Amino acid sequence: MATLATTTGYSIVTGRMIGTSPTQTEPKNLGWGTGSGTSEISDTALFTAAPEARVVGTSTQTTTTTTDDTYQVTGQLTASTNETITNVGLFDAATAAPQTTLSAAVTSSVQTTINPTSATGFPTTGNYNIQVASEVMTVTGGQGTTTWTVTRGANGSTALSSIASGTTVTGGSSTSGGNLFVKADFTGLALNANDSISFTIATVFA
Amino acid sequence: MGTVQASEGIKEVKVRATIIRANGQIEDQGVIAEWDSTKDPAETQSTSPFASLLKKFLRIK
Repeated sequence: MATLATTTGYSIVTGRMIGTSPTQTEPKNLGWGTGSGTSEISDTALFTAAPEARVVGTSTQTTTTTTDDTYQVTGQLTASTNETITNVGLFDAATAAPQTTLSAAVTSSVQTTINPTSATGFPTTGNYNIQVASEVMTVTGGQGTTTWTVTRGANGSTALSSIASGTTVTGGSSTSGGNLFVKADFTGLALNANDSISFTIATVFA
Repeated sequence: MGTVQASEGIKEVKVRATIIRANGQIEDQGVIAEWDSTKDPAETQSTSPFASLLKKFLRIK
């Protein structure tokens, strides 16, 4: 298990420091996910985002050791179906990231063409990041189709030599899902439909 | 060479959770995930390069 402030999270912090009205939006949108894995600092997405919409959390400055050294976000998500929640993240966008699966396996760490089942919701122009298992890739060609050209091992992640067909593909930076600030995975919490979890995520600076 | 002191970055992330069942029952899960750079320096190496970078470049002695 791991709880991490991601590398994109660092850019969010510095972006919030620029100007009197920073263009960088606050990372207080909570999303939760299912599936398994270990959070990596290079992550840009949840393992598999659950179907529920993200919620806008309530953010406060709180004190852990020294005055106002902690950025805390509290928010509550409610299950629309029976599911086991295994990870949660804070994002700088309220909209969910586009998500699909691989329709064909990745069989090499240098393979630069991958096949999503669908391109719906993903950008049709421009480069953008996706996360597939623990690897982040940058889509540089084939946007809007189901054959993408990718740069492997993006954002400091490790290019995987094998990724199974059916693995979740989630949009990361430069998609509607925005940027991931903090991600935490944990022992699964089994929910029935209409059960909720109230999360409090505290990020302490020192 | 001069000396610069600066904040080091993110020290700790802690996630608390409370399950609220549809029938109103509340189940406090406490802290379900935590990362503390001071308690786990090994993990700091791999998960908090921001802190080590700032140490390296801003705390010049």
